[in-house]
Amino acid sequence: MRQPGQVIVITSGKGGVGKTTATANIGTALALLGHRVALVDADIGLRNLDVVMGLENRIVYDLVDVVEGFARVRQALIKDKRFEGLYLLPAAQTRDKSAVSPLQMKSVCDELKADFDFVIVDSPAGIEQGFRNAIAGAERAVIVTTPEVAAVRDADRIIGLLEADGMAEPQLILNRIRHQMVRRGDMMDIDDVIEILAIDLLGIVPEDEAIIVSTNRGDPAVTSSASRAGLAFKNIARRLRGEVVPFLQLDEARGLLARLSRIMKLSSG
Amino acid sequence: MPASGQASASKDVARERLKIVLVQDRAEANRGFLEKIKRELIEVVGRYADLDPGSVEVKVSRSDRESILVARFPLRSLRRTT
Repeated sequence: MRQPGQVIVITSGKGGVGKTTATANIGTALALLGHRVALVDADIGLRNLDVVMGLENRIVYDLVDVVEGFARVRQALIKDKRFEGLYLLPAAQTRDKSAVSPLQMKSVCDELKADFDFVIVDSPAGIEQGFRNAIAGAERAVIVTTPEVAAVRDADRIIGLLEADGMAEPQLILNRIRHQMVRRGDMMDIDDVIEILAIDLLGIVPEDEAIIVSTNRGDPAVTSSASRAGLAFKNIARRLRGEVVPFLQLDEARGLLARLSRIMKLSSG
Repeated sequence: MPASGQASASKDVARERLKIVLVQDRAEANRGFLEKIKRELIEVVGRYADLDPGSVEVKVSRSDRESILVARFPLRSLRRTT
């Protein structure tokens, strides 16, 4: 009998802060580390995880088909042929959140965790039923925010709702940090956000054009060794499985040239 | 480091605005949560004691170290249990 895996929900409150990108990259990174991973798109009616993962052409059945008994979980899971052990359970595109109840969602998650090390649920934006569904089966929550007032405010609301729901110690990913703006005082830094939200930090992810390129291609950024955001997500994946990994030094996000010139300066001065 | 002499860095403005708005948000969320607790407590305690629902008070009392949920139920009379 294998040990049951853990169900982790990726959520944010505000839309557009990078939940789906985070889900895709963390899941892929965990698979690359040798784990069996199921990604679950809980955004019924607005599915996205399939295109971000580049698996949109392989969907036969979806989450609603499973819940309504038209397909078994195993039939609806899409196997990602590029990464051993990685699977996607897509959302339905033509239904709405009310097609699934929190109880049904929990039973799908319970079934998945018997077979996977990690079940990662991509939550829809908002605090309505879609969010309720997404957290129903999860024992762990990761909140994604960017260093902007609206995103942090919504993150605070989500943290409150998760705590009221009995979720133990949600953790934060601070996404899309622009080091240059932080340096000139035009973007809140990690300490600002952590102080305001009073929450554990799981990871920091620099703004990175490679994310847009990788999403264009349907190829998660963690597969590219050149992407700083990809590296950040790999670190997050390792922390999720219990490793202690130091946070990225954002001022090193300037690339190889800057690093080289700094080394030169150090050695000459 | 922000240039000196410049109006305060925009991130400081962001941080201050956020702190203020979150105090309001949290207070509001707390009110909703306290109202819910109060309604259910009145129902439960009301089964055993003669309460004046209007005078029941539920609040969070904070010190530096902890937050305590405090409920006051002024009684009209205690019912005899059967």
